[in-house]
Amino acid sequence: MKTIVKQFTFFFPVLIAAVLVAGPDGYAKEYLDGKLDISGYFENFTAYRPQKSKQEDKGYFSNSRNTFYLEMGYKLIECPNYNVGFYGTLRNYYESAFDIDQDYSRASNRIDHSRLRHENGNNRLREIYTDIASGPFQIRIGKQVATWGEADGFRIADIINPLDQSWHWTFEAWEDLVIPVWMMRAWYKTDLPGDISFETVYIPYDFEPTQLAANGMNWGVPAITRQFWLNFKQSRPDNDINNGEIGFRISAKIKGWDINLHDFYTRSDDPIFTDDANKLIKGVLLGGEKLFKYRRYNVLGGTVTGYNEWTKAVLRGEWGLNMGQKFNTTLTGAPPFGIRSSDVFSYMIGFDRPTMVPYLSAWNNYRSVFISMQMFQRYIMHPPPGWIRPPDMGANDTTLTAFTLILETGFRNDSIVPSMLVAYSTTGWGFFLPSVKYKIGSHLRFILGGGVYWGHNKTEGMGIFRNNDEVTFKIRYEF
Amino acid sequence: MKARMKSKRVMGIITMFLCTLFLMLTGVQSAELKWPNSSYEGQKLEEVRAWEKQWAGKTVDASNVDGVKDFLPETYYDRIKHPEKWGTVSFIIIPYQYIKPTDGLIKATNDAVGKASVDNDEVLHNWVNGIPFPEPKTGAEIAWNFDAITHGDTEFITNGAWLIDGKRKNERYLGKVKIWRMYFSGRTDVPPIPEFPDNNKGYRRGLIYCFIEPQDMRGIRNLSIRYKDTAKEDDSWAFVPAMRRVRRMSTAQRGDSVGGGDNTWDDTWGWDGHIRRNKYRLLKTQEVLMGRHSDKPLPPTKGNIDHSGTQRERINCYVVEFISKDTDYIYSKRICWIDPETWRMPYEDQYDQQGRLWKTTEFTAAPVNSKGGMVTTVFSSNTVDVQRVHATPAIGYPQFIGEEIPKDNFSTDYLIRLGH
Repeated sequence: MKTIVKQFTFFFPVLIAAVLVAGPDGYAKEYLDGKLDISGYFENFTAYRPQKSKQEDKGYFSNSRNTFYLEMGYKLIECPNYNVGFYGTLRNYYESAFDIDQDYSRASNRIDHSRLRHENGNNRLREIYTDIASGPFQIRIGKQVATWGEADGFRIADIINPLDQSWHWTFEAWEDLVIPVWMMRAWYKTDLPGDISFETVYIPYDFEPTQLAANGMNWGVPAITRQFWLNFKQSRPDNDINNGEIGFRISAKIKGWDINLHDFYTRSDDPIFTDDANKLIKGVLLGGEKLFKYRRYNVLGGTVTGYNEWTKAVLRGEWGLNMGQKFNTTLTGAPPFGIRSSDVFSYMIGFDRPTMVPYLSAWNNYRSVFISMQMFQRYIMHPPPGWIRPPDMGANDTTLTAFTLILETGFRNDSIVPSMLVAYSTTGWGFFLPSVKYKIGSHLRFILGGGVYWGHNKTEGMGIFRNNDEVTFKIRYEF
Repeated sequence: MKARMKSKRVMGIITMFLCTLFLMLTGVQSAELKWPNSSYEGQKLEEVRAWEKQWAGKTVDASNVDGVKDFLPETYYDRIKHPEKWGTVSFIIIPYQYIKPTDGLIKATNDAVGKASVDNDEVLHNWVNGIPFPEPKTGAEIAWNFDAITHGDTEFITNGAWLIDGKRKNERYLGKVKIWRMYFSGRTDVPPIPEFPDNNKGYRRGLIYCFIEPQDMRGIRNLSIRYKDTAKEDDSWAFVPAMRRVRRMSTAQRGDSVGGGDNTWDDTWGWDGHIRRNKYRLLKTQEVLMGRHSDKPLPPTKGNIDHSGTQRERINCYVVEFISKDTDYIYSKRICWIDPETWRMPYEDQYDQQGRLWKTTEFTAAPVNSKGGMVTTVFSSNTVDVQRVHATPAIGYPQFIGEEIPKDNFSTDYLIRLGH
């Protein structure tokens, strides 16, 4: 009850303020002659898992996340020679699934709930940065998100910011999952043929690993025990200058194709076990040791996109060579672990094509169906003996092949938007995410969706979540 | 005798030369004088003024619309006449006012009179800028005039749109968008004229849509580039804030709805595809009451399919049939009314593949003083799906016309620069 009151006291004043800010028609509000603009939303996302859990012989609510999101932009200086602007986003949430469903709450350690229950500390200020642009030069400094990739869902080039996979794995919109970090980006557009431009990214100290849920929670990885999960945080390197990550990108347009090449020297967002056996044993038995390492590697990659008139589709491609990526090895299947390197080559090819479907057109007033397909492959180029495979790869595989298909269209002037995403790996795992979005009036959005996850066994790919099939419901008030 | 004959022959040649020169000079002079020409002059203008004495200042609605039935497209007349189905609509009649083109457009047009030609594939030849056919004779020539006009070369407007369900009598706010449009070639008003000197890629036009509302589309910035090569499809990119990246977009489905509205990408400004994609037929000229001098944008009134309060004046429009060469195109034909002074399309009817009337679109414009003349900008538009009794009205707020926009703004780098 106390938490519900606490939740109410937080959200109610903000809701009233938002309703007052939002007019009967408008959403975003512009002030000061358009220099300042504010927009945002309130949202409740609820997920119900019909299948029985491991702990209880019945289903449970795995999410009831109430989110407040505010976005602000301010143009400080606008003149022909240079522009200066600020941008920021604020987000807070309250996860009430632990309050609603005691069975779910009991499935994991109560102490661990706080990380998922609400946004912590400075993370509430998700993004805050300033933009300074003059002629062909632009610099952006602050806490922000940088993306370089073309692939949807597969992280080949989009590795600059880590992901928060703790609350709904990777099944939410990128903007809701990505973790902004403090960095500096700079662009320079040349007058060279091919519209060549350069971009550099420098993260001086801020390191954030991938966020995972604790064991027992709906999206907690079963193989990661609570002790290990707690040690992730403990093993995380301190935020100092040694965490520096730097990247460089060159972009050009050649014969109608947008081509990018990049190099990013980074620290892995995903940890591996330490190769110090004594430390590992001591840490497991007595605690206090850093059991994991976030090792460095270099990513060389590129993307290419272009419109093909014959197929009437946008063709997309992306590749990346992870040079010296670190893997754990074991000769017995158990500790002690070793650490070995292997280059990893990944690529994606895909297309996007809005397509008129003849029989559907009569129903949806000639709204096209957006079709997007991707094929992804990852090769471990020099797998060391006894290497421990990433969880999305088969037990004996050195190659991962996966496909995705997205379909989306609109009915009744896009007030009803059905969509679906299917992913399938040749190792046998996959997932199916259907949803229907319904827009009512100017501010309200409802999304009814679901997720079906499968895999050969509970240790490979989405197989780890194969009992997590769920029905989801989202209601959002935009202002 | 011989010398006399020789002298006569010389005199004859000189006379013929002088006559030819005179004809050529008068020919050029008359061509110069023929454009710009107002829709009504002399006795016809007097007739119009006499009619206006009876009608100017009057509000027309269902009760008296029969009096001006001859001056309205049949589809629009039908909607006013049946308010029980379409909602209450009225408009105001104002006197005809001539809209003078800009000095640059007049000069470009007169400098090139008689040079342009259009072939049987609807491809335009020997045209640089201005109106290619000041006195058009065919539907294709009218269509090219419509396409050639650059509306002041640059334009920045803010546009808001709604969805009206005429059956349920409700409406939904669709959103708000900022639009920048600039012509890279065929320019007449803003230097460099007629084309950017380093336009190596052959850009014809750049267009940026920046979505302000609704919140879930906020920050999406769409860049479209049209090329001078009419056989080449547009290129398009969008900065998608949810992904924080610029994505290449397919422009193949020009018949697709714009943001869920009743209008398609091709319907923008009446027709926004390449001219060579259609066959054209000049059906007639028709005097119609069109909104060309609106003093304010007209938002929709709740539940009504059409705007009310449009200020309409008589204008003698060309009526041209557009038939797509693509047999699978969503429309079997368009009937387009084209204003001979502004070369805008104030009204059009779109027919479905079975030949039934499907939609109508109206554009209500207002002239803005610019570069020694006037450039019209669209204040209000409305696409009505007459089969579903549904409409997508929009209103535009011009921010500027004919001012310089850096050409680098029409680049993907700029989308990233502005994107958050």
